[in-house]
Amino acid sequence: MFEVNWATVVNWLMPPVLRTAFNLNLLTAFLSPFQALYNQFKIYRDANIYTLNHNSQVCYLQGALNDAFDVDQRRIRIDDAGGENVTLLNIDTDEQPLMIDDDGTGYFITHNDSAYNGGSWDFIVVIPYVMSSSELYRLKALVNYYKLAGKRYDVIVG
Amino acid sequence: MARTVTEIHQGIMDSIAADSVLNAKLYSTSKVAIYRLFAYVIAVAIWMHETLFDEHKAEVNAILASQQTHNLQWYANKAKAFQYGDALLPDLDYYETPDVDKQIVSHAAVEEVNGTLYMKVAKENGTELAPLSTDGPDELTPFTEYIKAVKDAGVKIFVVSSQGDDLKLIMDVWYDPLVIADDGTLLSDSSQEPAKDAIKNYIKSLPFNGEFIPAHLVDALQLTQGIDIPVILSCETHFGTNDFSTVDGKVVPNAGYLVILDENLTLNYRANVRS
Repeated sequence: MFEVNWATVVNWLMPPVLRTAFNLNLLTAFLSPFQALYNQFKIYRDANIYTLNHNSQVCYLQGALNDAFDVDQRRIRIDDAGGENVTLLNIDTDEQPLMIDDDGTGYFITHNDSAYNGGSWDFIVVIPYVMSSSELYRLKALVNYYKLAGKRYDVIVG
Repeated sequence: MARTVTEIHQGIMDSIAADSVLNAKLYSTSKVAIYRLFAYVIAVAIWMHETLFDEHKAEVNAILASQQTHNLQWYANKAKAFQYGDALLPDLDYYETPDVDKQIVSHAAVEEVNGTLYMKVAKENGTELAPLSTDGPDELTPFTEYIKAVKDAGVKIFVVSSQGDDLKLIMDVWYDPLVIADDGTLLSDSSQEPAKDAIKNYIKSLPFNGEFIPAHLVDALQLTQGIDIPVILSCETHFGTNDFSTVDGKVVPNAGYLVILDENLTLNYRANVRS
């Protein structure tokens, strides 16, 4: 429906006896502004359809972000915020030194703020590499465009 | 609305005819006069654009019309659309081929409590409702993953799929001695116990996640043949490992549905005779 071959259009519309190179080329020149308009329209249409087919659902938002930033490997993903509980180790006023890993008991894992329950985030955008600040702004603009109003998110490298 | 090629072409022709400079030279009435043909080609190009714009408008409207608000009902419908064993299309929220046989979630209801969605789901196991199994085969994990993909980013959803809330009922049933025996069975057919069957049917017929109202159960029992006066002495429910708690007028089951086991149903049959 939306595909037009302008050379064919010109050819078809001229009666065979008048299909001279001069006539055809002249008509093609006449139609060149239309062709430019058509190309613009096609880009506009594709963008509209794409926007309409994406929304704040995790699968669509993830798809839109990957289309924009990680086309081939599609590593950007959206996780729920929260899940980890804060364990209080020691409070400042105790003024006690605290060893959090003595190399004998294994690992000590800390998370970004957004990974803890009761924080001020609703979801997490996990990106595969550190983005430049301009890229990050573009990413946030895209997330803000699609996400549900009022949902808070954090962007972390994971 | 797009104009027709003829209309556009006629517009160009009219402009030529109205112009005193042009109409001195371009007055041929031949259908294939070269200026007429050229105008026609331009008219076709304009017509194509107008048509394409209209098409695009219709297409956008169609997509907008099919978009739904993501309200509680939408989430419930999404839960029912889950297909066990199928993968979602990449970056999309639906399956390649909808298959009713794989849609195991037969009942779903979503409630909002403190900003979190509680999604109660159950499947049909014969005529009874049952929770999604957690092992052999694990149905709950695929379902939860599916919900994680199709939900809106940042919406907290808690999937509840558990055994129905147990109902514990103690009743006095005054029966008509002409119809019912003292053990509650029908005199004409000792395989039927009308009071018990009526209670079980009533509980089964409740809408998913609907209110259970003991008073309505009494109404249903009164319509049963041979039962004169049903009196509820005690009515309690419990969910999971909680204790039984008395039903205060009405209750919405936590799992979305109720089950009543034989050991939880105590019926004291009393003949309705005047002494």
